[in-house]
Amino acid sequence: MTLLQLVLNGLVQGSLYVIVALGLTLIFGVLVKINFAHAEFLMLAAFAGVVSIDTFNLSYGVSVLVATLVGASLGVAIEFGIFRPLRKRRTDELRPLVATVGVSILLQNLALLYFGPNPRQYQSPYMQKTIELGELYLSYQRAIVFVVAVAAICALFVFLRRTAPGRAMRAVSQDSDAASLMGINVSRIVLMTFVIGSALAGLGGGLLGPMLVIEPTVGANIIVLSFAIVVIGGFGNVNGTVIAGLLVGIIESLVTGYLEAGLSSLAIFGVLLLTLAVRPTGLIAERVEQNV
Amino acid sequence: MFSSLARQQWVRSSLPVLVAAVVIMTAPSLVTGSFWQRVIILALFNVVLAMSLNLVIGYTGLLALGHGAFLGIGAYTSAVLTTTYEWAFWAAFFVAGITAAACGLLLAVITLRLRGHYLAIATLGFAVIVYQVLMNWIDVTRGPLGIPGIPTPPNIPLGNGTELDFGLPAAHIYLAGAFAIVCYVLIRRIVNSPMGDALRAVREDEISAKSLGIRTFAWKCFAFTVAAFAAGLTGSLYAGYMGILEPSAFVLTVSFTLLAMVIVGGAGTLVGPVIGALVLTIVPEALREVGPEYRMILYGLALTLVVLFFPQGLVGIGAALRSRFRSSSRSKPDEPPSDSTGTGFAKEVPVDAS
Amino acid sequence: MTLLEVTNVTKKFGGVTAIDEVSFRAEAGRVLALIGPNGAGKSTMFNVISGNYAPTSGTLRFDDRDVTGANSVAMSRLGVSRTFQKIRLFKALSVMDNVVIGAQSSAPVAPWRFFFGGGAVRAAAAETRKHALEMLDLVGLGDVGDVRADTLSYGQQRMLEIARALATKPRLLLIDEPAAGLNQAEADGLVRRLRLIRDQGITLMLVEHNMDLVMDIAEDIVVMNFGKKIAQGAPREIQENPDVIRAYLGEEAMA
Ligand SMILES: Nc1ncnc2c1ncn2[C@@H]1O[C@H](COP(=O)(O)OP(=O)(O)OP(=O)(O)O)[C@@H](O)[C@H]1O
Ligand SMILES: [Mg+2]
Repeated sequence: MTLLQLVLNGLVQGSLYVIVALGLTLIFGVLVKINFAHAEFLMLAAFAGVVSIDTFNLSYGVSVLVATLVGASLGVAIEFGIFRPLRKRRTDELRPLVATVGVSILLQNLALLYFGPNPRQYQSPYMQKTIELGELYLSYQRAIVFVVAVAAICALFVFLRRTAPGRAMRAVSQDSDAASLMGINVSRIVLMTFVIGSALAGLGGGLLGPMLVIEPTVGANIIVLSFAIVVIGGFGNVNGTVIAGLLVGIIESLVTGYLEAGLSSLAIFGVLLLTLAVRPTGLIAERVEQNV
Repeated sequence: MFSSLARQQWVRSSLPVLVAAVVIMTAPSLVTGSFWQRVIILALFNVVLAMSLNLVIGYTGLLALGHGAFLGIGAYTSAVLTTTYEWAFWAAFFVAGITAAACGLLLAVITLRLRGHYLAIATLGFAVIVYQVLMNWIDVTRGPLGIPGIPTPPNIPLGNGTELDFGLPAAHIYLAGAFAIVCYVLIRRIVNSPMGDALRAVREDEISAKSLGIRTFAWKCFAFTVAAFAAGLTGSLYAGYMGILEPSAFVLTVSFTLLAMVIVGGAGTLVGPVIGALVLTIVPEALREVGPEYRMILYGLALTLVVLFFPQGLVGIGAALRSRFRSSSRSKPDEPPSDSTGTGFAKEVPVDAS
Repeated sequence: MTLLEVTNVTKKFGGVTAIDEVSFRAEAGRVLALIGPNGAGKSTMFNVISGNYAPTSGTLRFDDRDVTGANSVAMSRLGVSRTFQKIRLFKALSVMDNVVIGAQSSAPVAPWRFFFGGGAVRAAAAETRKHALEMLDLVGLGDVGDVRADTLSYGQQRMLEIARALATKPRLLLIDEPAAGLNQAEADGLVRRLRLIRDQGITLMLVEHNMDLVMDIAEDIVVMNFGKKIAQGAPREIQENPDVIRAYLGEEAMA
């Protein structure tokens, strides 16, 4: 494959990573908490997509919608089930992370129990047809994924910058105490963030189906990559996450294309550790002095 | 002559060790099935892993998510040295510990200026890297094929003409048990001394600790290195017991189960992780016949519920029951909260002083 | 003798100049109060002296040694100890353990030696506990050593921070707003105890808004406003200094 083809494939894959990682980063920005079960939402949403096509004979488009809704509902569930109760109890910062590690193990194995370990695949009508752009090939399916992902990212940007709730979300993200003083209902914003972030994970799951096989461990593979992306891009930094996600997609595609598939996560996590060692706040954010 | 206080102290410090020793000595004759003997051995390994991880998580307040990586490093170091290079087992054992410790120190130096979530993700990334190295460094690790034919520890003569024969599971129970007891005693020495105080100070408030002259960075490195060392040694014993290693034994899930053991048992206490490791190794095995998924479902459920409802873990539940029982039977006022029943983790963002 | 000499120290946070070319000296064995309106830069000055922040420019000398840029661990080991304006105790540990941890840093036996045990180590441990208990008694917390630090009242927590800082056997003790949140009885007790501490030969530096307390105990006063030093002198001189009066009146007029 040519370099350009690999970069193109990487961009498509990366756009998927971006929407998953954006969910994580939005939640971190607003709450300074990590939802470790985020990628299990993606996995369950992907299964919901499979089921709605296989069992209910819905169309691909509708299945993506179903997956998105499933993601959003899981977001609501985890906010009410885990994050809000722990927030009320004012426990230490990292407890929700530990609790959601538990949730993630739980969901993954419940899925294993229910759906079995055998990988499933979406029946998408767009797999076979390809678009040719000179030397470059792109399946219809991938083109759709890319377009939808980019559209979702753009919609999110518009939402954050142009709408009142989006601006409120950014205000909470900057300084939740100040936002609260300004009369913003922080708790509602947090819920909204979970809905949007988790819907993005669900959308990722729905889109992912035809490109990958769906199995209960698919979330586990993606969550660590998303973490790498979120850290490289700077926790809570939306622009950084977009760049880092595309970058990771491209690195993965290049390393897999020229070297070996297994080495790609070595490369990505190498970059992750390097980022953390040199510039823990990410590629973009600024250093701040600790208050004493 | 012992004063009564000294006797009390002796009882408190030596009794658990003696009881554990007796239990381990008799275990192979009480539990004869090979399935449950294997469970006991793995449980003892997990005890050491959980205790060492607790040093980092519970006492120092650093959420490390990749402890299984050090187990893998130790296991593979030992396996490669004893097979490819035909080293003696015990030489490989110590080198395995030292290699893991060196990796732990390296990781610490790279990442310990970070706190909280960043550290959690860095250690997660480290575990992924180690796993990928095991999978892809085919020349040394044979990748997914794994390393077969790892020798057991050499038999130990017992003086009276008999030998401790590592062809039999009983010998592995004795070895793992002795190792766990030694680790327990040494870790207890650390946490019950000013070293433990320094670690707790780091957990509670790093800025204060520094202002009292505590070199917090060095202590964090210390906790990481000691924990990695213990995990590396455990890895070597694990390799010697299993006889065959595959990278899949060191996936991230292993690290998460260890985390669950520490938290479910009670982070920041001495016995918490021991109890957590025993319970979470033995109970799920009893469920194995129902279906393998139930094992992990139990882990996930236990971890989530404990964090939500019993932040002090099983040890905390036990203490609460005891004090309720005591106060109802003797109507004695509640004991003051004990010092170090881990509150868990340190704060991520220092509070503004303005 | 001069114990601490601050020369032309400036500290900037991004665009904010929290301390602007401030110089003063703290004489050994005396009580120096650092006062000024909110945001004057007093706590920042403490953070610079204690090594929590490195100064942007200027020099610090402690005990005739250049300590500019030394970190807080180094400063603590040189004999500078501090309390925090916003209390920072080891909350989940016992009152006694808070102080023992402070005392350990001045103990002659390094922590790692406890791993190997032995008579010298046991003796040192006993000595450390004894010293810690003395410090607790000094601040009036001798009989609550076993309770968790975060169960103490606010005033007791402030006193515990002082005991913990004292346990390091400092030569210079920086106390940031010790009377904040104390009732009158507690404040009186505080003054008495601060005198006891001074009588042990420990040099005290105090940031405090309670002027009665300051005038009562301080021997020298440095006044800051908007990061600059605006006056320095004995309490009586400061009370009559027009710049100081204006700084404080200005603050009140604004409030
Ligand atoms: N870590 C920091 N980052 C940014 N600005 C800071 C920091 N610490 C202090 N400042 C700023 O420096 C100035 C001086 O603050 P400082 O806390 O030293 O005042 P202070 O005299 O102690 O006031 P107060 O009496 O209210 O405690 C303030 O404007 C404050 O906002
Ligand atoms: Mg102040």
